[in-house]
Amino acid sequence: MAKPATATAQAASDHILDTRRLDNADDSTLISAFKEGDRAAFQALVEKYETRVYNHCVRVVGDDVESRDLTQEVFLKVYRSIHKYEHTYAFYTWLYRITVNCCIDHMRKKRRHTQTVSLTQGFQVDAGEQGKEQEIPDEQFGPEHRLVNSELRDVLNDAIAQLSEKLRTIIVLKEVEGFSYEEIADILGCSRGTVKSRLFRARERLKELLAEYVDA
Amino acid sequence: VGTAAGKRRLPKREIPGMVVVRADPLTREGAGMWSDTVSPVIQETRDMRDNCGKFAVELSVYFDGELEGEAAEAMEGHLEVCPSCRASLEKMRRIRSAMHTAAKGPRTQRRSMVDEIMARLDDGGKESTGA
Repeated sequence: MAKPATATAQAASDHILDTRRLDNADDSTLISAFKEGDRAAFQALVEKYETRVYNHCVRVVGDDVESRDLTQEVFLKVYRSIHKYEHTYAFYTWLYRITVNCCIDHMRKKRRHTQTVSLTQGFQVDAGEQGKEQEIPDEQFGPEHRLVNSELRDVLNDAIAQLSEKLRTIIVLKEVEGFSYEEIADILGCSRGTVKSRLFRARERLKELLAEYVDA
Repeated sequence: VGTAAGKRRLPKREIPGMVVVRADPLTREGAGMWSDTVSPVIQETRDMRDNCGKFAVELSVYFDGELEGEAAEAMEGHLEVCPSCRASLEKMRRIRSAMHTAAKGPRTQRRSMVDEIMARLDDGGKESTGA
């Protein structure tokens, strides 16, 4: 095997993964490469997670432009603090913690102003999924309140916008993004008991706000 | 925890839907009283607090499939005899289903932010990296 001409070339050779390896690399491999200075590894992490980060932002913040800014802010924080990341949690959990905190900080700053949220505004999917959406009546609300999707979204968005930042965050993490209690506790840095009580409060509040639609 | 929560009285001012009864100015009748005209949701919460205290939070946990063993069995036994908790469970199911439906769309074309993020790093992210 031919030796690199210089130590620098050797280092570069060690650090830079080829495209195929990056495409298939797991998070741990990408993070190790990134910590050693491989920017392409960081880019691969961004490509892998940007949609999920953006979708969480837009679900709790509700504005496309703000959510794109927040997504960038999240990844800049990841870039700057990757040295603090330890493998105690999955990278995905750590990334979500940063995302949630950025969103909560942002919402608190905006609290004085009227907010609207959107579960779906600007919701991103890959190109192949475009055009699948249809106006399907929701069968789960009460029979007298079956709504087409656009109406359903408006009703839900209004209700969710009235929740506090913490309740809004936890109901999205659970009901839309499907995290377990353990994962939510890790993301929020709280106990399982706090997850339980906060979800209970969020649901009671939503039942109240959506009483017209969920009452039998 | 469930027992303690069951005994705890919510401060009246924090209960939406409750209305202070105006006292009769002459007899003072009604002073300090609260109207019974509360929303069905508040009434349901009261019922759960009064009748199903220890089950209120646990019902939400059960709904998420996070209640196990004897606790889950106790909840199932309670649900068989408690229409209020069954109704509450159904409402949670409806809200979840509606949120899933709403979250499915409308969808926009994916517009990657990778280039924007990498450009911002070029503007100053490098100096701060721990790499």
